[in-house]
Amino acid sequence: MSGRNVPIPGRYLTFHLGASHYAVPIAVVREVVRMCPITAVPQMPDYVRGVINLRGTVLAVLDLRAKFRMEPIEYNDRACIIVLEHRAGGRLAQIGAIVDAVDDVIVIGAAQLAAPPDFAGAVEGRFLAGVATTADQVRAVLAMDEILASDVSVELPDFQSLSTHTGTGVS
Amino acid sequence: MTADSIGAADIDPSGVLPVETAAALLERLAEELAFVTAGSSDGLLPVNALMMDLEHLPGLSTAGPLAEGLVVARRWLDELLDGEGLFTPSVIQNLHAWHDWVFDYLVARESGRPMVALPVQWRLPVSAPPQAAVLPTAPPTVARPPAAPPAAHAATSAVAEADSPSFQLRLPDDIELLREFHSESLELLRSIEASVLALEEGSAGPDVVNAIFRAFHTFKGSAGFLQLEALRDFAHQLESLLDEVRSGRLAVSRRVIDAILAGADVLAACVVDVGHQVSGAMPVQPIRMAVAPVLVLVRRALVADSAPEVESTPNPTPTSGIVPSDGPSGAANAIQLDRAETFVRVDAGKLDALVNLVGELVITQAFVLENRELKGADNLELGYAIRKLQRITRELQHNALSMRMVPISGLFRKMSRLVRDLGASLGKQARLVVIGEETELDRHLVEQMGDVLVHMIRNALDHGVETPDERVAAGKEPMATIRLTAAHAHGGVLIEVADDGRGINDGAVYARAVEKRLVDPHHDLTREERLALIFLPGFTTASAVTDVSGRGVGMDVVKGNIEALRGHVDIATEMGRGTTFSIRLPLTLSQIDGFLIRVSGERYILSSAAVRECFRPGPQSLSTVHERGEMVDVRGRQVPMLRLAPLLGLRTPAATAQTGIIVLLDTGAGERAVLVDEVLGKQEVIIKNLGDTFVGQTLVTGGAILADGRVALILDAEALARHPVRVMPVRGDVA
Repeated sequence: MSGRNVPIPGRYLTFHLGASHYAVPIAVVREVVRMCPITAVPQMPDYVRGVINLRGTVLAVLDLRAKFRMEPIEYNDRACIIVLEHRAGGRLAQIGAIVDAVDDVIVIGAAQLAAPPDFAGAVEGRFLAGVATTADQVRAVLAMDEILASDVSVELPDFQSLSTHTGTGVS
Repeated sequence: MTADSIGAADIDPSGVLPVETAAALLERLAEELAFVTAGSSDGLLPVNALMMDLEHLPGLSTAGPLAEGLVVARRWLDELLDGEGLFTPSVIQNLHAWHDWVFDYLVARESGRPMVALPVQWRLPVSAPPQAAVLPTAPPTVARPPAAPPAAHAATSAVAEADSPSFQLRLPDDIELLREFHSESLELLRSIEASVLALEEGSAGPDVVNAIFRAFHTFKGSAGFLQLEALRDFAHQLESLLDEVRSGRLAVSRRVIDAILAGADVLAACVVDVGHQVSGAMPVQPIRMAVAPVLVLVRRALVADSAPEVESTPNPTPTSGIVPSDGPSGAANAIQLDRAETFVRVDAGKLDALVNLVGELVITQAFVLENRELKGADNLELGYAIRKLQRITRELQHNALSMRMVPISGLFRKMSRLVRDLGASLGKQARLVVIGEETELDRHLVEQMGDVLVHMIRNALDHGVETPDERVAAGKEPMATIRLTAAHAHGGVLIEVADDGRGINDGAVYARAVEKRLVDPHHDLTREERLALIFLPGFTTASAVTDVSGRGVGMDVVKGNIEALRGHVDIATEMGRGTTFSIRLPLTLSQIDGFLIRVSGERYILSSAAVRECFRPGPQSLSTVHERGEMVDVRGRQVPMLRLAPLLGLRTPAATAQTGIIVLLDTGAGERAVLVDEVLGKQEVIIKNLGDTFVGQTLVTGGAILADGRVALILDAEALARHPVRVMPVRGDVA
């Protein structure tokens, strides 16, 4: 599984949900749009918030908080929808992910990236592509393809408590 | 059938003949032959085209039984084409036998077994005398004249006879055929022109000569088929000239090229006139052909052979791509050719893109017009401009959509062949009556409906229609009638497949379904519900699997296909009288005319094709029936009521039965009185796919972007109508 590989250094979009910070490679990000009215779709798990109109196309939108089994909050005007490109059934598809706020686009070097710690074989480990440790923050690099391919909500392992070990785990 | 044996034997690399191609052509030929009937012209042109493909197979030797066989078959076909263009029983019989012979021959050839010789009786030109009588001026054979002189003589003698012959169109009888002939011929002539120019550049090989020859031959065939004798004969002269070149008896020279181009120009001018007369731009009158100068050129070209000029690689200088014809007439005709083009072939993808863009335009316009500032503006000029814009947009949308509409006639025509062929193979007599074939609908729908209709007609013939004896015993005429009807109805299209056969016994259907464990035997079903069981997967009533229904497709697939097109199918049947399947389809797949409704603050769209009426229920019209849930009284009928809000998972309180509106859905799946808060209006929307994320859900067929830019879901009316109704929703239990 690709989960044991170190993520590729480069530009990452960073965002946060509450106190947890995340990064996704900029290559999978199509754009970031402001929170807009979402039309709910029936018969879907709660993390599928519904659909929005993205310049004439209908885009499915997930609530990342719900997807990661976090407490729901009232989104304020910093909330964004990150439009991600992912592989689904061999085809490229787009999907929106609601986050509390987008932080920045940063360059993460090889020295700052580590393979995800081994969570004793926990299934959730595969949703992490790695851990990025910069001066100010420890971020989970998300394996978006894995996360989006899972059709249930997922619990991310607690990567922050392990950051001190992973900080030196450069291979 | 035997195609496999051909394919397997084809591994042998020694064969130069592309046997697989030949086998494929023969198979198609067999298919076409299966449909031809004596006294009809149906299938003559496809058969002719396939025969020509066989004649032009690369690697085909000019001697040997196969070549001989092709000459024989060509003779039969040309007799038909040069005659009335109608199949005769003897030719049909001969062609069938011929097909079998060729197949046997190829199989033997490939497997190294002794080859079957050409049957002796075919070697003699059986009906040569009558043909000569019909066409005294035409040379006896077409594809392979035995030698050069006859063709040359034919060409020259015709010059003396007719300087400007003419032909008359059979209008309006042949209008459809002529319209097709017109557009097809323009294309042929254009390809001829392009090929001739390539020939002149010297860059062309024998393929190009063959292509030109074939194009003229096809033209001739079509003209003959439409009984445009003068046109046919003239094309024949040109074809003969090409045949000389093709056979190597005449080299490609400037004179040959001039003659061909001039000839093509004359034909083009005639075809343009045909187009004008078909479209009504010109009164129907004999069309004269100025053939004399061309025939002089043809004669000169033929004579040139004996006194060769400098032409081994003709004329490398003129490479500008302009038609090097003498004088302006050629160029003028070419221009006319373009202008007269009333049909343009367009990439279907481009058309779809245009229709989608127009859809976006309509939405964006609505969005702009909803703008508060614009709405509040008190400006006469602006108001006028807006109304004009709206009108133009509407017309643009209408036009764009109509471009994708095609008449259903092509589809229906195929079915009439199917009925004839299948009826005979099942030992039944049936004829097809077609009504409303001019009805237009979305091209995509026509394409998708092909399989559906084939299966339904197969089904009708196989299960519905009785044998002639049974019919006579039941007091019916031995010939059954299958009626195929198309009509516009309720903003969609209604297609009916009706037979006057034995009808469907709902009791037998039910028993069968119980036996197959498709239905719970303790469950009471209405007659309609019992009939609908035939649409269940795994249901088939044919006790013996026949050749016809053995193709592995049941009515469940038919229903599935129809529903995938947002349509639905109903059955009406009467024992001993017959069965009618009614298919209701939308006009197009990309748009939907819908009711915009509101439930708990959310807006949804319901296809107006499924909505029978909307009304406010009176206090007395609601009742709760034990175990069957809430019912609404609709003029004395009790219709199950469906509360949308809980079904759609909406938590905000919705309207009560007293404050809400009932939308009465009527679909093939059933009837439901749907309780909504409000009906906001009726509008056309573009259907947007929701994407793979939502494949699991069943209540929504798509999304639509409303004027305010938000997405509204399009509810699946069929799914709602099928949804069980309960007073108290019970999780996980669907009774």
